[in-house]
Amino acid sequence: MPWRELPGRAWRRVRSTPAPLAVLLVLAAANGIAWAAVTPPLQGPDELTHIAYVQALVETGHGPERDSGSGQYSRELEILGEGLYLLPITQHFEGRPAWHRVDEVEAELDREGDRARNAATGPNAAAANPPVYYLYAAAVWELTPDRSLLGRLMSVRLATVALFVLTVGLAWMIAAELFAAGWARPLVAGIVALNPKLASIAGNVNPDAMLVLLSTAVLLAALRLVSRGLSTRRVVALALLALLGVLTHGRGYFLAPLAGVAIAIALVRARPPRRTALILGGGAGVALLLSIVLGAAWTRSHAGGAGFGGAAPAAGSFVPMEFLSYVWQFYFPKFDFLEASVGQGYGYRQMFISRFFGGAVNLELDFPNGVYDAIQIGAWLGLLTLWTTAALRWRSIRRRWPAVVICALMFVGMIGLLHLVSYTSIKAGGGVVITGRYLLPGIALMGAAVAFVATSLPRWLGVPFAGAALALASLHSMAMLGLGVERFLA
Amino acid sequence: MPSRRVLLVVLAVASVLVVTVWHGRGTWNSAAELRDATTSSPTLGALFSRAVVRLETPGDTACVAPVTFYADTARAHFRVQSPRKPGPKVTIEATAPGYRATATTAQLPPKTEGLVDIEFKAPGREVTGRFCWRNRGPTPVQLIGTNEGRSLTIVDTTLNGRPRRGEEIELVLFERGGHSLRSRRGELVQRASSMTGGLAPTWVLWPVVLLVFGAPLFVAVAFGLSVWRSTAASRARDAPRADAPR
Repeated sequence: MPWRELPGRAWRRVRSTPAPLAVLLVLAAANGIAWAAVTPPLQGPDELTHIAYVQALVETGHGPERDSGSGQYSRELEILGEGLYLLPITQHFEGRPAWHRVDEVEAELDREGDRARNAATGPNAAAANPPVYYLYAAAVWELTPDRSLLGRLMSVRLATVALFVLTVGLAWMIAAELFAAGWARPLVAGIVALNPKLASIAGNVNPDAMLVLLSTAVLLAALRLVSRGLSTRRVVALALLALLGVLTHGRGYFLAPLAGVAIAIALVRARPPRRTALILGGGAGVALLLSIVLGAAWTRSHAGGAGFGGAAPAAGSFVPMEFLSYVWQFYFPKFDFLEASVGQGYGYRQMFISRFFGGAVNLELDFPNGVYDAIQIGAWLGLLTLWTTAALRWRSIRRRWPAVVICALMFVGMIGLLHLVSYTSIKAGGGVVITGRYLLPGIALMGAAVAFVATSLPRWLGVPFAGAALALASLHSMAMLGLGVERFLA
Repeated sequence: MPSRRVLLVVLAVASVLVVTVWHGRGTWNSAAELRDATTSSPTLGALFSRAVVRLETPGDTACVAPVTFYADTARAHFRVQSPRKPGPKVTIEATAPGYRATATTAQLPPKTEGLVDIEFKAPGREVTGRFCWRNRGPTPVQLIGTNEGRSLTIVDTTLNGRPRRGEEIELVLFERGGHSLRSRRGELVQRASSMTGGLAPTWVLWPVVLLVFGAPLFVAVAFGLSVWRSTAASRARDAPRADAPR
């Protein structure tokens, strides 16, 4: 296709966007922008370290180091953080940013000029992360027309919001891939667009938003590959997306085996000539392996000792039975014959309920315990319903086994990696490195699970069930943002 | 009789709106609740390590500066401890060029520690000056703050004019009385916009606010539209759906 036709084609694509999807994309953008404005700069989870990483890339062309270097962050970030009280108020619920000092601090930054943009090459805890997101953020940092520090920070935040909006679009496409009922699409996309945890992360400078986008994209590409059949384009797209995912964050390592399994399923089902199978399978395999090697190499060179592409501060010893006991006790009560878990009392409730549905922005925004109790009951009922629905529709599930295997594998891979990372981190003397936002790469799966139940019910029951789920998602979103407004602005 | 399609759309829209109204009352009421309206937090409390500034005798004075008082700043919170009976009184003084306000606490309960909430005259315009505490006797009073580096702000602390390095006394300033979030929406949007480097001016944020807090309405429309279209599509198809309920 000639290049000059591209804009016209793109415009036709935009115009053909279904109205409900357009509404949800606009809502997602609004949600992300709202969080970007409500959360004061540097207040997102580990945001200072991520910004320092971006600035190090821009100023030196290299990523920072985890354990050495010329400083944690630049002088201008220090001026901003201290002058506007952004650094001291973290975890201080009585503290507020110094709105009245914005002009004064900006004037000070102007006076300091380029000197304050000194390259802070570390020590930086985020240095272990592979560079894809930071390269994207660095490009925005450099290209933004607003050259003030606050303007650059907001530009990167807005660029991260764009990743969130794309994620919502991909969730819509996943629903289209999985469900014949058209109304499942706004349900799945809506659950993603209205998730306050994801929106708040997207409103900050944080690689998690890109990991969520790429995980969702890998899921879509894998589903298309196993459902629509083998093609070079689909294999290349899947392998490339998985590669980018792995090189975005250590928590994305599970994407490589997921893509590998999807390609294997497609090859087994299509039974192409041996030569084609070798080229496609071998090429994708090499790309996926390469992604893990590159990710690990980056981490090793910037943060020796960190494990799993930087997802864990260190990798400790692994005892299989102890690991299994730890995973069991994460979800279920301890049996007498089991040793006490190494999990430090952190379990299912914390990760899947209170830290996933609450605890936004450095765990500062939380609901009362009663809300989490209700959510936990709802989650159990939801799981029970999902199980029952799956049992009732077993024949339909078996018929579509490749898609089901991909969805199940994505969940198991993501959770399995998180448990492995957390266990080895604890064993190495580190903390529990597992929290609710780490589940966000599977957010489209969560929407798909709700849609699976909704579309399995008689339509007169399934539609209001879906509507109620969307309403609860909206309320969750509004309530969490309200907490953010109260915490940081009121 | 309305068609099955129309009924489904009504069901879709109504389910979103009814659940929103039913469960959303809490959120709505919360936005209308009266709560403290913080104007600034010149100094913070302790997370791990406390600083104690002791005003030993009547007349001893501790101050923090610079402190910015907004036009409507008229309340202060600070933490005190009174070690002996009878409890002391404390006079606070807020001063800035062209502004001076004082107020005195009631006798503080002895041998206790707590947060003091005290009102004083608002400056009427934004000014920057200092905030002082003076012991009015008859017993010592201890002002509580922090000395942990990560919680220190740009404020300097003095005791009887002598600097106290690395120590701050907790002080948070408010508007007088309680205010609902809804009644302060203009001010909140202004604050949200102020640290965005001009990339999210208030005229951008107002539509964002409408979209975010009107989300259930937009979601209901999107969902209803989707149900309308998919019902039409499924009617047009003669074949049974792949995920038809059985």
